[in-house]
Amino acid sequence: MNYFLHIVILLEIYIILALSLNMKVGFTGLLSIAQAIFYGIGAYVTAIFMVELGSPFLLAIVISIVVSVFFSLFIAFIASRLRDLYFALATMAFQIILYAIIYNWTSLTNGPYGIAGIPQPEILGVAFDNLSSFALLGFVFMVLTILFLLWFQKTPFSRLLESTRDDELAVIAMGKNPKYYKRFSVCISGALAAIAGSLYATYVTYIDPSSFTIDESILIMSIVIIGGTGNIWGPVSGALFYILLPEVLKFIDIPDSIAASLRMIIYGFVLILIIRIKPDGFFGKYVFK
Amino acid sequence: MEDLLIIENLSKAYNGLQVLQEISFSVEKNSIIALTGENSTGKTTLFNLINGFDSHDNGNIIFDGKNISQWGAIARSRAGIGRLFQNSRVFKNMRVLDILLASCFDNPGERILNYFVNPASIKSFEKTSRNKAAEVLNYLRLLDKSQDFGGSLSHGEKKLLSLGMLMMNNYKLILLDEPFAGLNAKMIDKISDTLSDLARNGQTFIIIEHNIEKVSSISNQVLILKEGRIIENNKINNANNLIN
Amino acid sequence: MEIFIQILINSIVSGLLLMLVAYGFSLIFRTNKVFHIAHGGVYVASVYFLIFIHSYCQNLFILHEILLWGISIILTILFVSLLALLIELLVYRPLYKKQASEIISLITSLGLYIVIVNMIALLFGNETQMINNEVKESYFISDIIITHGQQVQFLFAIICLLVLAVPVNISRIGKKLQAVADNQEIASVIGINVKKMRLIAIIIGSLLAASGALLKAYDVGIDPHMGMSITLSAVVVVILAGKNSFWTLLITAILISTIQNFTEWFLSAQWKEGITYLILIIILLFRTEGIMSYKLRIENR
Ligand SMILES: Nc1ncnc2c1ncn2[C@@H]1O[C@H](COP(=O)(O)OP(=O)(O)OP(=O)(O)O)[C@@H](O)[C@H]1O
Ligand SMILES: [Mg+2]
Repeated sequence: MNYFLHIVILLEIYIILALSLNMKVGFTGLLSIAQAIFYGIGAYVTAIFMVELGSPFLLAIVISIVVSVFFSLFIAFIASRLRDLYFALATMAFQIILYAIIYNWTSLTNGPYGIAGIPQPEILGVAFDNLSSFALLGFVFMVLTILFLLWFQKTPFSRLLESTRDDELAVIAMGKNPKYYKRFSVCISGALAAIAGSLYATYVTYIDPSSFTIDESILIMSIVIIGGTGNIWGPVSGALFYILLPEVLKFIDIPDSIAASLRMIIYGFVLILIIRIKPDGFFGKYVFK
Repeated sequence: MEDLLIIENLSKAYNGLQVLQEISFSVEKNSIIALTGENSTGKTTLFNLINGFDSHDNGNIIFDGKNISQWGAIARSRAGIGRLFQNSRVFKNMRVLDILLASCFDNPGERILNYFVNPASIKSFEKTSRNKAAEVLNYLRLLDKSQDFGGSLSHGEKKLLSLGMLMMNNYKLILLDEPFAGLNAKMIDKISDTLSDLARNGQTFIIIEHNIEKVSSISNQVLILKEGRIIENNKINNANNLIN
Repeated sequence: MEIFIQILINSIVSGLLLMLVAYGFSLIFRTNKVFHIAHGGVYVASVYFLIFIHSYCQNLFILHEILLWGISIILTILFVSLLALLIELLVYRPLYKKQASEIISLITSLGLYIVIVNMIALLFGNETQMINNEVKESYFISDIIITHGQQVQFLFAIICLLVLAVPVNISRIGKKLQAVADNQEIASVIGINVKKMRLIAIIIGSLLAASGALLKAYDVGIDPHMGMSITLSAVVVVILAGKNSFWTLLITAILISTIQNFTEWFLSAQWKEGITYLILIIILLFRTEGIMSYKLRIENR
């Protein structure tokens, strides 16, 4: 049961994370390979505020969102100058630079030793201190995210994000500024990733830089690509596939040491195959080109 | 009549190649200008300069009484210069209806703040623009495609849809870059009917077209471009079959 | 003062190793039009294969040490060529046939990288591996040390560059590769076998990366995840250099590794990557036209 709940919580976090990146990749066509950084900012800001300053959980989340949105503006700046491959490359550079800062700024982040003893969330006197209540909390956040995106998809605003993704020049010819839409989508994306990060930090109660490496960013990107982009069910199915794959592998009784690598091998193969034969992913809407 | 657009001594060079040299002409309100000339004489470049995609080296562009030489493409579009591209640029992964809705000017839903302050304005704007889009789709006989993706349309339908995008707003001047190229006779008729309908309502056009016969019959001024210069600028008074 | 000369010498040696990887990357990027992140996978795979085949042969026959290494290295060269061949045929050629975009090739290459690295981890574990465990004597000039490892690296890096990279620059094959890099359609029209050139590029490029990896592992340990960071450093070199000239790449590689070594000395090793990518992001953001063929006609953007 506990193990099952653990998987559920991971799933909730990864669904939020995948949806957050989808905002960039699917809605605005920005293939960013830096999502782990915003996830990490969410986790670290929450940890620092809760451990060092004893701030309540909700306040910590709000501050994480603000900080993450601030850093998202860098991605917006990159997006206003670079496209396609060079945009992706610059986001990778951004990921590595911010990782170096998190790793080296020991007075704030405690560097490689990480931050331990992060309290479990408490909202209005209700403590989410066991697995089942935390799973419930994660579920609420996940559902809120999905509801928000379902609503957002139908707004006139999201149409303009999509037009920016499809053809920037035509958007300019329509008298609208694509930079504005990019900036917005990048900020929403950063905010959602920060929420996932806050949940992660309070769930595991100990974080260190190793959870927010470039490998993690590549992973989040591939979750979105495999599941599909441009809608909600694409990224959700990608997260489901990623989290449930090792559970399926358990049935074929292989030693743990091998299982982790095997999972990633299968995952890499699926990524290569999907992009070749079904570039819109499992359930995506937008065909990434 | 009043001049809507005045081009004065416009020049443009790309890496030393003089594409346009001292172009001057003016466009009256409610007129249709045909712009013709051989390939690579700078017709599309001239459009890029007029709608602000690129900046010119010398000269002035005066639109609606204002010198817009320093304005960007976004501002020029909002001032009323619309453009149909030589190769249609409809949004590939969006549905036809959404494409039309996205192209409306001054949508309150473009501003985040409005979702909190004035959601009603977004709703009502959405309603009127949906009606308008339905009208446009009906007029262009694209109603049955309204839920198709832009990328799945045929070449001709893309041109029609691009026209539709322009019809969603009241542009003062529309630049059409080879609207008839690559279309069959039926589609050409459909598009030229649409254009003459618009012209009858007082729309001003500049049309790039290679076939000088085809355009001289529908326009009241023909500009011929050669090696970056205007070599002929004829006003045609009798051939107003489009307007009447 | 000595310390500066010492860092400079270290930088020249590590710059040569970086050059091997960067030249290979550049060759593949330009010819095959793939942003070959999996280069890092090949880099690491070569070291693990050499160690594996060496200990395997050691148990099989009793040979003189030098002969044993010779055989192992030849087998490793074959292995890396085969790996490159498979990568091109199974993964990149389908992309070429479909005229896939650069970004699709990047994603594919990332997937390939994940597969290779985890394959290594699966077969050999995640532990650090080293080729040479003995400490040999260093060479001293007053206070400046040139270790035995550095001497070997310096010598063999130059040999590898002479054997692998220089011919690509001057021979007839080099001209053909350049033609394919410039424009694949024109190249195939004038009778160049584009598919063959792509194969040659990826094999030579991978051998260059492998030689860099083996020389690196001769001195310090290597683990399966090291390939990514060296590949990204190579990317920085290729983009900063801008053009495909041998000397520009070499000088840039030495420059980058000088910066890395100074950062390591004056700040800390952990800042090395951060600083390298700071340079990359600054070049990308403020000097874009110089690097890429972005001078498109407005309508084609
Ligand atoms: N951004 C640019 N950079 C460099 N050269 C350009 C650019 N835009 C246009 N040119 C050059 O300017 C010349 C005129 O091009 P333009 O597209 O304006 O011709 P055109 O009259 O529209 O031709 P067509 O009838 O084929 O559409 C061409 O030689 C073209 O190569
Ligand atoms: Mg043209």
